[in-house]
Amino acid sequence: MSQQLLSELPELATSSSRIFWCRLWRDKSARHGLIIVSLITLAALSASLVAYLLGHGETEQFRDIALSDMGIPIGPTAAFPFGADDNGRDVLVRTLYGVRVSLLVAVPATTLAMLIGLFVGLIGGYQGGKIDAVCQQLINLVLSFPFVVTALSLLALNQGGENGPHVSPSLVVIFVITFFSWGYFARLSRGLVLDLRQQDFIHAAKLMGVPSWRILLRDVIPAVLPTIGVFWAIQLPANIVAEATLSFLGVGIPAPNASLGNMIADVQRSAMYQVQPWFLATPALTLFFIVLGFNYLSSGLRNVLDPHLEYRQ
Amino acid sequence: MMNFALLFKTLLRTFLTLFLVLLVAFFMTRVAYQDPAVMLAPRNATPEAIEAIAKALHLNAPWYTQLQYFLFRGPDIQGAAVGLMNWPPALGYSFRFQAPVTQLILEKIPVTLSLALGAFVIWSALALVTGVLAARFKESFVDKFLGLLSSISLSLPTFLSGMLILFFLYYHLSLLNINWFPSGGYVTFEESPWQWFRHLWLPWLTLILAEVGIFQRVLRSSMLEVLHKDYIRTARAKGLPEWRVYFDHALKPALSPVLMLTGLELAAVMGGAIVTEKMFGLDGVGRLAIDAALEGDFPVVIGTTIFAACAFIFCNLLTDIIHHLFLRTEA
Amino acid sequence: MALLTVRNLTISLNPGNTLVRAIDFHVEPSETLAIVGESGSGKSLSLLAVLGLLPAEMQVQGEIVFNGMALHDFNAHQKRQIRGAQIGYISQDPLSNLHPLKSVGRQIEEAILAHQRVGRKALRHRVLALLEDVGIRDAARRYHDKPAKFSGGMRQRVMIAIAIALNPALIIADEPTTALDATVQASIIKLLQRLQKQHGCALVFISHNLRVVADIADRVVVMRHGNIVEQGEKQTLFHHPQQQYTRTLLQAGWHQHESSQRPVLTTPLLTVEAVSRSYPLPGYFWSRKRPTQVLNDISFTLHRGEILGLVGESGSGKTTLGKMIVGLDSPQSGTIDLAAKPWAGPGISRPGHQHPLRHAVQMVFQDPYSSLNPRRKVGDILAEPLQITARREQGKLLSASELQQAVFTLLTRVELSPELINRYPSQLSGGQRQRVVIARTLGMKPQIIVADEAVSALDITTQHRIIQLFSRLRAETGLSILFISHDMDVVAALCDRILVLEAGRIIEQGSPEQIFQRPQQAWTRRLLEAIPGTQLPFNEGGNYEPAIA
Repeated sequence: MSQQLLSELPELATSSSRIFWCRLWRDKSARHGLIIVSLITLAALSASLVAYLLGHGETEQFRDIALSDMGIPIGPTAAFPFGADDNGRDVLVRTLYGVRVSLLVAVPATTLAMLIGLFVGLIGGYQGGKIDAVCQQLINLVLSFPFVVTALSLLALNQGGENGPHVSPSLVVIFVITFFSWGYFARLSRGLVLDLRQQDFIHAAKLMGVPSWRILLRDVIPAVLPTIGVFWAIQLPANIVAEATLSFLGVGIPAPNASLGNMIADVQRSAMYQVQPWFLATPALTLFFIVLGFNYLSSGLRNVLDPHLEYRQ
Repeated sequence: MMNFALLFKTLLRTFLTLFLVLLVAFFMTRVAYQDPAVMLAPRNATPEAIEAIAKALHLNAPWYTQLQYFLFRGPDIQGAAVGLMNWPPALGYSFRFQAPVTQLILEKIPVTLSLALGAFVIWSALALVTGVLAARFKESFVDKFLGLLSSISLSLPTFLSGMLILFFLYYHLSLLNINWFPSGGYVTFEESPWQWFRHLWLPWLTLILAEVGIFQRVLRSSMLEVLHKDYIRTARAKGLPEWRVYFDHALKPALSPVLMLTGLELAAVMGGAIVTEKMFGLDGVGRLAIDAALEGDFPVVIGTTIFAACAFIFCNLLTDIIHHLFLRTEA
Repeated sequence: MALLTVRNLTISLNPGNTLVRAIDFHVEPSETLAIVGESGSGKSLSLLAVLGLLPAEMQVQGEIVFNGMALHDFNAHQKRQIRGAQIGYISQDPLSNLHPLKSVGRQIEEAILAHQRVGRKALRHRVLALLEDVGIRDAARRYHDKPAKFSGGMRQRVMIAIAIALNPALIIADEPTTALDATVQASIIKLLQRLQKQHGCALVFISHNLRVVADIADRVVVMRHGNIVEQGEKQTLFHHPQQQYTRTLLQAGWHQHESSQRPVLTTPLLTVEAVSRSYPLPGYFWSRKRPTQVLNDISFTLHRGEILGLVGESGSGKTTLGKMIVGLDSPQSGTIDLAAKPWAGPGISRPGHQHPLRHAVQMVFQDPYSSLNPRRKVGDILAEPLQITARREQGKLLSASELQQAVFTLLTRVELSPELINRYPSQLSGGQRQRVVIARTLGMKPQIIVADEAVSALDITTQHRIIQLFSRLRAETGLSILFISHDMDVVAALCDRILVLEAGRIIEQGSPEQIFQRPQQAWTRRLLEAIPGTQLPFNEGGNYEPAIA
């Protein structure tokens, strides 16, 4: 009889992940964010395809057809849908590649920072005592260093030498961004774990003799992950801006590869945007929308998952 | 009122962090730069000059000796003191500029501070007003509009907003022969307060645009959270008017996360708002830092890094103290 | 004419969700009206509607007439003039209801200044007088202290001072004593009675426990699910309840003391010998706090199959003792032995370390909300102890079908439906959650369960049923229970023996009859006197018998 009853156990109406997506879609902020982010991802994926279709590579210069007699780049035409830059390169193609680079740098960097920060915060928060003191000191130390200057030194350093960069600059940029963002994740994670440690269900697990690593894995991490995940979405646009800033200053993605940051730097240097606004508008607006989209998304995620997140440290 | 044991422990921790920063900064140079003497020397230096510089900087001494010189008291270089435990702390000597680093930084501090503190005051005031307004008129047109503005502020990188500001408020206006805002440069306060203000207006605007959004958001959400608390209901039960409830009861507890945020952001800006300084031609610590980093002038890089780290530590200490004095809930 | 008349009051959250359904009640001048109901009954909401303090999302309909004024037609400004000046409000949790950053003196001043213009000196005088009136000694010194520096009872007195500051005609007290210890509860209730007589105001006392209002109410209103079930004069309602729900509440409030059914117990299981503990630990040279002795020379024995009650108020050390017994804390001196083998004491780094019965001592916690991981389903939560036990007893894990069977059995034992396997804790009521927690401990095959205020956070009828569950489990399996509570009455209903703990010492022990009829210590007597509702007629067994109409 009991077997039969068990097989008839009613399944809950919807699984929790389905509820989550429903609620996420219903939140206005998240909805806007999801749409923009999807478009961006699409753009990033289509970079090579568009380059192929248009016949313009990322770094190919078409000085004769793309620049006017006086050297001013042309505006949008059929061949160059978003115009050209001061070196005769196709702005649309470069922008799409720039979007791809932004994502390819920021997403791994943020994810890596999240993993490192989560781990350090977990260890410090859960163990307490001396280990926690060491973790805290480490986090404070990392957070004290100014981002741009230190990043600049490391990157400029990498560029030096007669044989060109020692390590691929993109990798160094990822490393640098990871290095400077893990501290925030760690602070958040530690705070959450400290709160969680007081909860009775953790005490109960200890009483049952569950080993610490298992408690961390089965009870602590699933409780902490949503908040950390939302913070990932908050930190990602910041890291996109960080990469763009570094590229703008000349130490990020090197020319002639396109990054939204160095495209804008080109614009500023040539000062031609005063007569040809298109080759500023495209990368600038694109960058703005990428960041805006992720900000909306992270806002929405926060509303749905953890309204009390705002700068909880 | 003050818990001295806590204060002592906090100061201890602060000094420890500072010390660790110094150590890391030192070791960064050992690892980072291959041939410091070459990088430090003025261009077109002869091999003998480079050799002399190497000797002057004791670059051939073992690392622990160099660390000792760095931290405590080393032999003078070109007549300038060496060693951090001096007063004022000597941060080394820059051959590029032919001047002690400390002096360089001290010269540029007023610019950076004018920029940072001025912008901070304005963006804080703005964020305070708009944050409370948005919380008060939650979900209304005002709130949604302010929310849109802060989304835009959050999403604009500093270099972009700087460029746009220069483009619209300087270039276009100058085309129309309106010269309200100069494009850059700095005038000290002593020379002319009005010109000082006028030259800082656009850089301030750039920083404000970048920071006001996040502050407004945090304050709004913090206010909303506090307004749900039971003691706000008690305040209303006493028959207090709404504005009193907002400003006298809800605002102070709501400032707690904003204070924490201030520690982080103000420190970042005080350490040198690099992009802004470069764009507007302000000769501040940030500009010094980025130029040095790009040129490989490592004493200056170390010096400015230490300066920025100190700014961070100091700002956080300040916010911790303010929190302890005003926002502490236990007795 | 009634002071307050409420007619047809309906409160809804959105069209589908009605929280209070067209209720009618009134309050006469200078009388005490008790409104009793469990959580979700709408009792607090109804009175918040009178004050105009409902959240903006809720819609209110109906008539509220106070002192001849139609409050339901008032605008915000007019409502504000009534609040504080003519209607005072005392809420449940004084810690969250007092502003954490303002001094108590300032908060009382605000209450006065909200409606009157008073000079600085006169204001201070009035506040000092109020503080002394509500029983806060040394008022001048404590004027500038923040709420965190006061104990729970003291904070509630401050809230009362705020409420009576302007001599309102009506005071609404929303569960003012629910979060407090029994003796403090008794003193607060006495204070409210005295102040009411002094000021001649009407008092509306909201509670979830009929027993608490038994001594002070003139009339009683019973609410359930947004409806008024019954209302009337106290004597009538208590002695001739018309509705079944009222009778259920009465029975839940007055527990039966079953002296006849107590088993004879001889086998000692847990022996506690001269255990002491103090905080903070010595070692911080700059810490100016002197260590407080939390437990002092505690000795007692828990027998196999016994339900032992530990009664104490906050600060008595009961929670620390409970934690030591399960192994979450260790004594500084003294020993604890379990089944004749050492459990805790000098030389044992962690209590229960390498003890064969480590698994057999489990705990049921006070807060049903933090006792279960909100992100795990009930089935998953219960699977864990079952697998741990299986691995220990059989050396291997249970198969999926065996596991399902075992979880099903556990749920049945705690009287829960097997459907709950796929629910998350947030989808369960407080009582259901507590049952899941009990099931979780049962999964470990415990010999001792420490229940630390296990029922204190629950509704009165749920408390009653959980106590019966404990009793049944003991009868079925012979397990021992250490039942820790501040509520002497609950302890007496369930336990075979009672230990009275005060300031870290066991001052008295005995069976419930011995304690109730021949209390030896003054503190024990105070605990007994603090039990409310003892003025109504009892039969010889100490049971209150409502007459069936």
